[in-house]
Amino acid sequence: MKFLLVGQPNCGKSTLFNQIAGYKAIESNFPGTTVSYTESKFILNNETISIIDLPGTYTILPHDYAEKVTRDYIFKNDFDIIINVLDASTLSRGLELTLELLEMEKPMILVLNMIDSANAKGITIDENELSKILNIPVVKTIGNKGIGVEKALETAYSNAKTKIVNKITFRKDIEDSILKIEKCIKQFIFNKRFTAIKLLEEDDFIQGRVELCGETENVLSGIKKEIENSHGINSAMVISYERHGLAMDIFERVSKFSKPKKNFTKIVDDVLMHPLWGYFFLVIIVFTFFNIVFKLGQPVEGWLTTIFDNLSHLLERYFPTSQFIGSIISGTINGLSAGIGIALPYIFPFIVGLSFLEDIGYLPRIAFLVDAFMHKIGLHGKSIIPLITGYGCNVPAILSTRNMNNESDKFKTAFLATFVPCSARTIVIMGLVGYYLGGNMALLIYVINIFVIAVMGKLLTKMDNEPSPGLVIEIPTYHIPSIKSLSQKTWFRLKDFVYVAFPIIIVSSVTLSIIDYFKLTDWINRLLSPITTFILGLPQKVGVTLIFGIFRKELTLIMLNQALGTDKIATVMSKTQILVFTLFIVFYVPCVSTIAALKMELGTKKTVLITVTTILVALVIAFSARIIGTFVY
Amino acid sequence: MLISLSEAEIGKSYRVVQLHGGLNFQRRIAAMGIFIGGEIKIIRKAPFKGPLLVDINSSVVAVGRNIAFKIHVEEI
Ligand SMILES: Nc1nc2c(ncn2[C@@H]2O[C@H](COP(=O)(O)OP(=O)(O)OP(=O)(O)O)[C@@H](O)[C@H]2O)c(=O)[nH]1
Ligand SMILES: [Mg+2]
Repeated sequence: MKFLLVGQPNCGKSTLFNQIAGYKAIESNFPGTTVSYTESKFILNNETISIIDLPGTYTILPHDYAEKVTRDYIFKNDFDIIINVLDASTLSRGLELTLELLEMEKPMILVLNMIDSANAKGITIDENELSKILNIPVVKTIGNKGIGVEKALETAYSNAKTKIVNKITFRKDIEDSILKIEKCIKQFIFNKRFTAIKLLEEDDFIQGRVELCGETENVLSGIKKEIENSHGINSAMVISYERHGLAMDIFERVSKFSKPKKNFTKIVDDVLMHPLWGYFFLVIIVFTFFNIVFKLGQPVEGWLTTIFDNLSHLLERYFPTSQFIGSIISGTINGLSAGIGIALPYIFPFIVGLSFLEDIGYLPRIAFLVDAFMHKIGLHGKSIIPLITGYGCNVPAILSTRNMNNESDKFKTAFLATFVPCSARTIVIMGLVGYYLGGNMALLIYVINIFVIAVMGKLLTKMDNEPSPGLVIEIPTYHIPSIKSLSQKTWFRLKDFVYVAFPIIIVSSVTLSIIDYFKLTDWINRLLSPITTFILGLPQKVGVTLIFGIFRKELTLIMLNQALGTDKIATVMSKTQILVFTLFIVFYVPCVSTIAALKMELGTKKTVLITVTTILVALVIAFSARIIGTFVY
Repeated sequence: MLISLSEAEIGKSYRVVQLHGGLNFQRRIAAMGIFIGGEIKIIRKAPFKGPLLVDINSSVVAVGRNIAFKIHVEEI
């Protein structure tokens, strides 16, 4: 059996999914977290059931690429029941999607999630009455506490495959029009009424799939004119207005209102979204965030690398690197030392911090605050969410550009997101510039980076001046994340690093040892020397690290120790060289995973364009730093 | 008196009277609950011609100025 979780953005679908599946889908407090589907299997009543978490969608007529994923999934796949999840605290709007889904007359139940938020707003919902009106079962849940989840699954199980009868009807003249269209439909999707409604709504997905004969088209255009005359609105919108009216009506009938609890969100927003203090706190929050990462990471890096250092000296005595086996052992130790000693101390606090900001609901507030500035670089506030996600990892950032509403915004946002220094590059910035030149210099790199992103945005807008559709985004109430959900999310992301990155780091270290052993490194370094020594003025030996950096950015730092034969970089590189190297690493070539994500979202041509641009930008920035550096130091 | 939503004042409630935009625009804002005849309350505005924060049937939505321009409202 197959259950689909369908609902509007941020209503708690992924949270419910994770309650059932274990933490498999990221949940965050902003609309548009989930951008592709996740499937999981579980056992209920001795039957294996697969459950699908889908991106949130306001209607099944998509406005962005993430919503399209959901629409396509519903239309192209078989399923046994839809679990329609609603945020009970915004019930009237959520019901509009419910009514639309009901039109498909597929098996369905309603899950009223966030009952706690609704209560805090002073809204109590009579689920029995709602169930009677909609003619489908209704279950109340509190997703993040797991309350009601089992009941929801049992209800879905016992109602799977029972086709429902949609008892909801629109006003008489609209129903008459729908009936007229139905009469001339020969092919249909789900059922005739649904297809007729979608044709009236000018849904291009359905339009492209049912062949219309001349007769149908005439009837349709006649009816559209009629509706426009009598209702005074675009005929494609008339059904939305009907659903809206019905949803408001149903909402009033099933809800009781009492005095709301103190509006905690409003009080906090009075400060965090204040025209002056809002920006002040934005800067403070970002600054504190990086400070914590740096201040926590640096001493830990110091301790851990010393431990590994002693270990490798000890082993060197028994297995000298002049022997093949010795070089492999030293490579492995180097890799482990780098993964645990250099990468983890920064990555861990970074992930916890980012997850916290996501869960508490601060990201959409940033979108609100910076919208005006984003317009100056041809984008709007919504783009800030992928860009911020990019500080964690560029791959999900590029995928999350599916939340953009047109191709041009999506391209520009993905382009700029590849320039954002991800946590891997943060390791290099913190571990190299921060460690040897101090926290302020590390901060300067982030500032330079933001400046470059702004300039790139400006240039992109010059080339392609398609007007951006503008910002419309729901601002959710704040949620205090539980320790449990925060640690689950942290582990979900860290796991990736430990399982995916660690092996790559170790294999790379061993590979470097091997090619070193066979004296191939010099050859690679000489090949790259026009860039490394001639343009950037770096030691020739750093060349090989740039190759490894294409696989994972943190490898550049990790390999650097090995390539230079010391972990006291400052003894072999000048301050300027450290700065130039780091700046080059921050900008040059997206890592292979990012390239793959770009290719999937934007196609080969745009990916090549972005990749080439990053190299050019890296050269220009790093070269400028070299020139300036010679004056300063 | 008809004004565009971008000129609306903080703390006041308005009724949507006209929408000046194509089908895509209308669909996008309808998804957030903005319909002709509906009520909108202005909660706050961002500086530098930034977005408005509005209350629509007790959900909170940020609406960019260039979108707000196309929504014409009257005070209630
Ligand atoms: N108070 C409260 N918060 C909840 C409840 N269920 C989920 N949340 C929180 O609501 C936020 C959104 O949850 P998600 O599961 O990411 O929502 P989603 O529906 O998957 O969102 P999209 O993927 O953007 O469509 C998270 O911060 C959850 O912790 C609930 O019942 N009550
Ligand atoms: Mg989700």
